[in-house]
Amino acid sequence: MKTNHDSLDRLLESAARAPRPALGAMPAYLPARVLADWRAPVRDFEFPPIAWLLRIGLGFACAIMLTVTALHYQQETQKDFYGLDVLNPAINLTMLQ
Amino acid sequence: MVDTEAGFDLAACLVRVRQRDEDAARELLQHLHPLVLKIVRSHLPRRTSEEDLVQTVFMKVFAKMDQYQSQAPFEHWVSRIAVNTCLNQLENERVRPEWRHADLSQQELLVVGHLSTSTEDLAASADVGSRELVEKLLARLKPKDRLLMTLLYLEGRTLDEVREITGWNIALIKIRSFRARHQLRKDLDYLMRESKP
Repeated sequence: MKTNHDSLDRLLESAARAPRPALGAMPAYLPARVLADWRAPVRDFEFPPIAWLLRIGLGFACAIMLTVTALHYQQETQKDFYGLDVLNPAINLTMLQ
Repeated sequence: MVDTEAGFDLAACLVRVRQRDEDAARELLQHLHPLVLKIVRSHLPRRTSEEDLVQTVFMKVFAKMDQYQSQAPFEHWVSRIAVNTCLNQLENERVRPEWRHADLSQQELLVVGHLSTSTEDLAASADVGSRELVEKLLARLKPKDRLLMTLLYLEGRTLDEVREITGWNIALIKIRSFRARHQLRKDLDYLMRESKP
C-alpha cells in the first residue's frame, strides 16, 4: 500500500473511490411537467409579487412627493404675489403707533 | 453529434425541438436525464429534493433552448445550467452546519482515527465512510468552494473542464481551490486532534 502523508489528499482520494448509487430511471411525471412549462406562453415581464409591490409602492411615493412639492411651490409663489410674507414686526408696530 | 450506441441523433433532435416537436422534446429529456441527475446528485443542497432540482434544470434548459449556439457541445451547455442551478440553490440555503467529533458516525470515526494514526492510504472498505466525512466537511464551505472541491477532487475534473462548466478563469479556480483546501485541512485537523486520546 503506497503512503501519502497528506491526510486531506488521502481522505479525498478515498471519498472519490466510494461507489455511487445507481442512477434511477426518469420519473413518469417529469416529461409531463417540463413540457407543460415549455408549452406555456413566454412571460416577458415576470417579477416576484414582493418586487411588484415594492415597485408600485415606489411609484406611488414618487408621485406623492412630486405633487406635494408642486403644491408647496404654488403656495409659495402665491404668497410672494400678494405680499403676505413681507410682514415685519417693526413695520406693524410703527403702523399701530 | 450522432449517438451511435443508442441510435440517438442529438443534432436532428435539437432541430425538431426548436420546431416545438413534443416527441423530440421527450426524446431529449430521456437522453439528458442521466447527465442532469448525476450533476444534481453530486452537488445537491441538503434541504432540496433531487427530483425538484432535476425538474428545475430541465425547465431552464427548455426555456433557454433558443440561446444555445452550437459552438460548444450541447451536453456542456446543459451541464453549465445544471451546475449553476445547484449553486444558486446552495447559496439560498446559507446554512453552514456546525458539528463536533461526537456527531460523527462509527465509519467516519474509523476514517478519522486511521488518518490521525497512520500515514498509509485508506483501505477500500473505508471509502463509504470517507465519502460521508467529506460530505460533512464540504457542507461547511462556501457554496462556490464546495462546488469546486466536488468537481476537482470527487469527480476528478481537470482545470479546463471546471473552467468550461463554471465559467471561472483558471487563476480564480486555483485561488478558490487553495482557499477551500486550507479550510478543509483546518477542519480535518481539528477532528484528528479531537480523536487523539
